[in-house]
Amino acid sequence: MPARILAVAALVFGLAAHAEELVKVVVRTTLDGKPVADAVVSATPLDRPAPPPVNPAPAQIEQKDQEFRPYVTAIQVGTTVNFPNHDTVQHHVYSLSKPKRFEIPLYQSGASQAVVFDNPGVVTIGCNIHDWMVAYIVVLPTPYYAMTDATGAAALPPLPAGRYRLEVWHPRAPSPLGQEITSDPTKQAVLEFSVALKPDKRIRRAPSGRTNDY
Amino acid sequence: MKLLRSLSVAVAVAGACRSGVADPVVSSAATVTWEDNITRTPFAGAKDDAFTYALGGDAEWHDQLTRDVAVQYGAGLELETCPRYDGLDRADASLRLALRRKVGLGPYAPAFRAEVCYAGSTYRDSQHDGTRFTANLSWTQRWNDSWQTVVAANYLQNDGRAASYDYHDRGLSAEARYDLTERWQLSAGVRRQFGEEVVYAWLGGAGAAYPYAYATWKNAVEIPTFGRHWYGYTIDAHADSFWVELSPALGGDSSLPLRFEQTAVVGRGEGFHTRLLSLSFVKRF
Repeated sequence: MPARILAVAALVFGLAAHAEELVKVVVRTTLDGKPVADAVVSATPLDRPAPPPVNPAPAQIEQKDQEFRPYVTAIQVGTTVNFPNHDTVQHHVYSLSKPKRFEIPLYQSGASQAVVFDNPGVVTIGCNIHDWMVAYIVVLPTPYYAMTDATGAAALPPLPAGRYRLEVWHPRAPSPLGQEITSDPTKQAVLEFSVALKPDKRIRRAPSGRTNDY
Repeated sequence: MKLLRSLSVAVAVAGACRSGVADPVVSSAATVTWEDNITRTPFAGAKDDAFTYALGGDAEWHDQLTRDVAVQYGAGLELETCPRYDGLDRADASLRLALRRKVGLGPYAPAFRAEVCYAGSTYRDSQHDGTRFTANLSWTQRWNDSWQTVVAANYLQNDGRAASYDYHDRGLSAEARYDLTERWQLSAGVRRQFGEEVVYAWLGGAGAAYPYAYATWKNAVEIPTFGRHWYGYTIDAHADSFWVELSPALGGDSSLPLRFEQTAVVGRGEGFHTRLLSLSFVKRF
């Protein structure tokens, strides 16, 4: 959605010693310009296939205080994600998302289950007991990705020269933002995106008055 | 008592069969209630209202029997005091066992629950003492992020020390909940109970019960809870209730529900209303 891109600024800091371009992306809200954390920024090569994963380290999404942590996880296709239960109650982790449907029936505190994510796409994770628990796994077909921090900034791994499809995804964005970029090893670039976030509406966690919802 | 023993055994067996040890879900509630017509009487001169203060705790364990069926069992304790009529001060202990089936995965999958509960109550005025068996079937359905409905059917049997507290009824209820925001929830519901209702009458002077009603009274017993010349009895009746509740969340695991509930009891020859207004602090640990 190039229309949503307010400014794309390629800042030349001088000749770099790299054979790869360093790209930094900053994501802010359209409404008030506040930094957006937990946005996944990825660059997918357009001129050649993305390098395959080489023994990617397993990722981890823990269940703690009856929430998933972290809220958003970005991985490359083929990565294993462990789901340790660090709560004192049981959880029943599942996903109904097309890229990866799975279910880990009720399991206890201290136990961990592993799932391999072998198709690209966004996978929404839930707990079938605690309906308010939600997390997102963004499975990417490229090793060039990063997540924005509290300042809304993400630094991509160095990009070899060539054309890329740059995409920014956030759970509250109506759709991913994207544009084509050309990596120039002689430059460092800062790209700025503006996104209109939907309200952060989640299923209520607090107990109701006289009924046991659990 | 046989039922209580059976339920205790079932809860104990369920506990022993568990494959591992998970902590229970523990919750508690503190409630202050203003109760209009706490004397549950149709007679205007005898109606009175009072505040009650309750403190309760509950622990519940969960185990998955199959992919979509879970067993839930738990125990609860509640203490309530009524300073105006301290004969109503009571302590309740309960055991319950439930099967819950969620058909499918996710927050929008319908959940069905069958529960039996056995409770014992002891009052300062021991005539109210007794045991209570309830069975409940419910269907909980979330329609979207904001709307949820609960439809339930229930059966209740109360066996009291005084004959007037031997009664049973059955009912149907429906409740809709709407999350105004992630913090504020509004809910409303209706219920109809069929069976027997406990009623009180003061026969000490002006405003006393009309004689024609005596024929419908069952198990009339003099009850000292509200003073001299008060009688408790049961009538065949139905009771229609509605309630509205506004519940702000205080963080993720606690809430402060404010509830209004009105019940109209209609029996042959007599009827009355009760109204409750309560404020609770509910905490899930």
